[in-house]
Amino acid sequence: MLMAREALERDIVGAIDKISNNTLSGWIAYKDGSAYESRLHLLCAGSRFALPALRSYDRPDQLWAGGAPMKVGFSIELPPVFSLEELQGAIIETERGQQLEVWEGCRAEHAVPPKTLDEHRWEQLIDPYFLRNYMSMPIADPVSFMIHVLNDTEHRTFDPLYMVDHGSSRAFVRAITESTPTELHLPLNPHISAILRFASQTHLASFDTRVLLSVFRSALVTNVFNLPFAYQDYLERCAPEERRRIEEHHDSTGFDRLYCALVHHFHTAHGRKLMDEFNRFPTSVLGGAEPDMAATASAVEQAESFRPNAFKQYDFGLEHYIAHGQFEPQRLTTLALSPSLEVMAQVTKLRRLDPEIPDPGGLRVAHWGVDRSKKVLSGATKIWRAQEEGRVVLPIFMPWFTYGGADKESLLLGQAIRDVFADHVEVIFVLSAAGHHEDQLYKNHFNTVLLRPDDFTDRFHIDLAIQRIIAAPSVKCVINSNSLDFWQFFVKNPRMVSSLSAVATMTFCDDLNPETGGRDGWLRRFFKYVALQNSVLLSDNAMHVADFAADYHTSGLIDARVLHYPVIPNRRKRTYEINQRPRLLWASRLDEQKGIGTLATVAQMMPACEFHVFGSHLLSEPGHSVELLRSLNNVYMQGAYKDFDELEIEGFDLFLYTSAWDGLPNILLEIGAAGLPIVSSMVGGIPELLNAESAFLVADHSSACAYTERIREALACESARSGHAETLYDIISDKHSWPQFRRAVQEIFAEYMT
Amino acid sequence: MNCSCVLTAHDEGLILKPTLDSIVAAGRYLEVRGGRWELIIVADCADNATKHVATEFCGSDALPWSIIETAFGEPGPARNAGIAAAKFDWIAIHDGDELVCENWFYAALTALQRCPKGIAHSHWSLVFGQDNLFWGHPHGNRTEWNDFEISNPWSVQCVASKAAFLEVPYRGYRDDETFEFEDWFWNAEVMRAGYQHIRIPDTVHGVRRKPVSRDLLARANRKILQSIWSAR
Repeated sequence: MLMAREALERDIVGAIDKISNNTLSGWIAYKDGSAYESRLHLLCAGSRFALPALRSYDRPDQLWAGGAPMKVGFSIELPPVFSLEELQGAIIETERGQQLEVWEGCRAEHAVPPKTLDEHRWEQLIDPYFLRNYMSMPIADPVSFMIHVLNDTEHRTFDPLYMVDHGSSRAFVRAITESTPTELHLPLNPHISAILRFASQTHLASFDTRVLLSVFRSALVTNVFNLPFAYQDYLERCAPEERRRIEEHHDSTGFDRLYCALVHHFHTAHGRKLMDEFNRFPTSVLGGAEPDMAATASAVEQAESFRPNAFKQYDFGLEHYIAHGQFEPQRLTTLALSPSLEVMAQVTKLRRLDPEIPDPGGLRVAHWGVDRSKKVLSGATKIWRAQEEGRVVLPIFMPWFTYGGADKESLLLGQAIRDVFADHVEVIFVLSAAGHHEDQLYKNHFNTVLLRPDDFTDRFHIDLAIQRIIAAPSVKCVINSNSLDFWQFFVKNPRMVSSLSAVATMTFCDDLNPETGGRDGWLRRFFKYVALQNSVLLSDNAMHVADFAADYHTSGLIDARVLHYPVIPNRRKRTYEINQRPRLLWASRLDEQKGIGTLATVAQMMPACEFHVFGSHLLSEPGHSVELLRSLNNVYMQGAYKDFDELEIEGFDLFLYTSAWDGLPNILLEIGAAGLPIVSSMVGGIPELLNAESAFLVADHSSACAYTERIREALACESARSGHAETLYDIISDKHSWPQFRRAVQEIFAEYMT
Repeated sequence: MNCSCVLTAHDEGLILKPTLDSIVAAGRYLEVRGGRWELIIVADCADNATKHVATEFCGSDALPWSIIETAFGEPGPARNAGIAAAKFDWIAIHDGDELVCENWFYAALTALQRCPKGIAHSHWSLVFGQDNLFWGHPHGNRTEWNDFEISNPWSVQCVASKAAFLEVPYRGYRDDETFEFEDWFWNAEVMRAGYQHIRIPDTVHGVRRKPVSRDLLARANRKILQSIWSAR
């Protein structure tokens, strides 16, 4: 086997179509026609960078069918560590060391033109006090100062959320430290007084006002809102006996809770709204009128779902800043990148000079780049823009956008929501990964936000981005369509999510676990944790939600709705005579779920029929069944298809659907609406669409004999074929129309659109 | 290819020894390939231990070295003083607690022959001590400006023409505590003056990460708070 593989490695072909400072795209294939499915390395500037593993379905549109090499297209995000000059001389290397000569005629270019700095910004950049503009403003109150920054449209660099996330801003700390005492008058802001008063009566009741006042002032100035840090500092300044007294008799966890409440407010209200929230409190200084206890209690209550330790874990800004003069979060680490062998040799020599230097093998590699959350949120500006324009924003979270039925249904839902609520709503697709089929979204003028703009985005930044998206006041409801990122966030923060936004969960069908044989899938894994916080469960078939309700006894407990997704009737098959070798169409994912093993056996048993197979594998690796299909003379592997319209329905006599488990497959709706008769299994929600009058049904989805029997029955009788097709066409025209779908969508989402 | 290495020393003490070892190794490497070099130690407000290590080490070997004692109390002007005393056209800047790789001078000077308006940085910094990791530096002036405003993408170690350092001297930026930005701003100012930051393949510097004492943090924090308490 190894020798055969080595031989294949020697016969690789490939090309790079495009290089930019953040993207590398091209294709690669074995000359014998099989798809390259392994890891590549980029050798650049003496460094070795492990690219993500390639799989043939990464870019299905790039696959060649038939005898030509199976080209696997790739489009890979590069870390911001290589310059264009270096990329120009880079090399792609296969796992076994073969190097592709691919660079001829391909020039590296900037993906985005580099920014230029005008004189004004230069002045800011090289001025140690680059908040100089602000320095002329007396800092009577840091909160006012921050509001000023928030309202400044010219200096977006000073993202207030960033300031909170990372402890503070270098410039802000600098501004404070450079202020002379006479400039720095810090009368307590009245809003803060109200919170402080609330704190003194509840979470921090054991502390006297003098201590709270001191801690709060210092927290505000040194680290924006970091009360726990300020409290520790206060203790350090105390005399030992006073410190002991405080530590013994006071519960300091209230500082953590209050800190979380403030951060929560800041996030929830998207910065500038924070002060509006606080303004609702009475403008009393300590000892003045009563604060709005209910409003404050509600705010702190919401913050309960925030865990102080989780926040503190990332709150290393000031400490790192003081120690090293700059902020840590700009340093991103990866194990994919490794220095050259020469560098390793040089390090080995340095180790002889100072044994403290570690063995360089396996060390983490850090590089400079845009902070992930900033990068993610740069896409989310669309949300803020829509918000400023007074529209409700409805994010649809998805793992990616590709060719599947779930993707199609999500698109239809987005279109219907936009159709119903018109200018009141901005539907934004929040995709975890890019690079599949999202051109469909752009064609339909939908905005997208990428949760993983590159391979270096970690869980923390994704959660942060999701949190900010749902915390935007314009977001009243979010839709989750199979997004694992959203599921994980929701499960971690059910109370927070439900307090900020309604959640509509789209679900399609259970998976079957191949090892246990039991039901599996995101709904089974996660929904039990968030069932009560979820607003509505949307499915395209009743069977799926009924199964779940029966297993978990949720009947009457959760709001589950069945949406009949629309399909435009377009009868393309009008004649049902068979004048030549019968031609059967099969179109779906080449996954085990879709019964490709059964399909192969059926094709073997019916050599007189042609089987035209469209699709590519997505969830499972191509195995023996695909090999068997490829080997059969009466099977024509046609590769992936982007749109249903690409299938030449008119030229086929039957549509064969062999799924082993399913919801209500979109392809059956489309086939029915095109007038092609169907032979299908009866699993999942399929019986809700097909019956004995509208299709040739197979009860035992695993029985190839049952399929051949039904196919023969169908092929034998032209009137049965046309009659079944006619009946199904009528059912779909009636039950799956756009007006009925629109009405259902309006009913579900109307309450979230104001 | 001749190079003056300007090394600022303050309170490194015994830590200075491996630093000097690494510089001498890099100097010898350059010599073997036909270059000349000199070492200028700027002892700025240096403690006795540091001065002792410097003089003992350099005096014990026939090295092309000199020592300048200054009392600036900050690295920018100290480096400027060392640069003014340099006799060669290319200057390497180093800190007293960090290590250079053996091929550093030679590789940097070779690259700078092709790019005279370059500011040469090592490709990698190997951070060691309190933390262990490789830190890759960016190449060219293609840096996201917003990032540059937040953090400095290059370390202080660099090689450039003497003309560059004379045209854009380090700023004096006095701060009694721990805030030091002179190399950060210098990196920005040389860009503005038309110089190009380049990183040199196959080179690495050892960057020592010393423990950050809680006391230091507390002192820094207290300094910030001081103005508040006095304003009350």
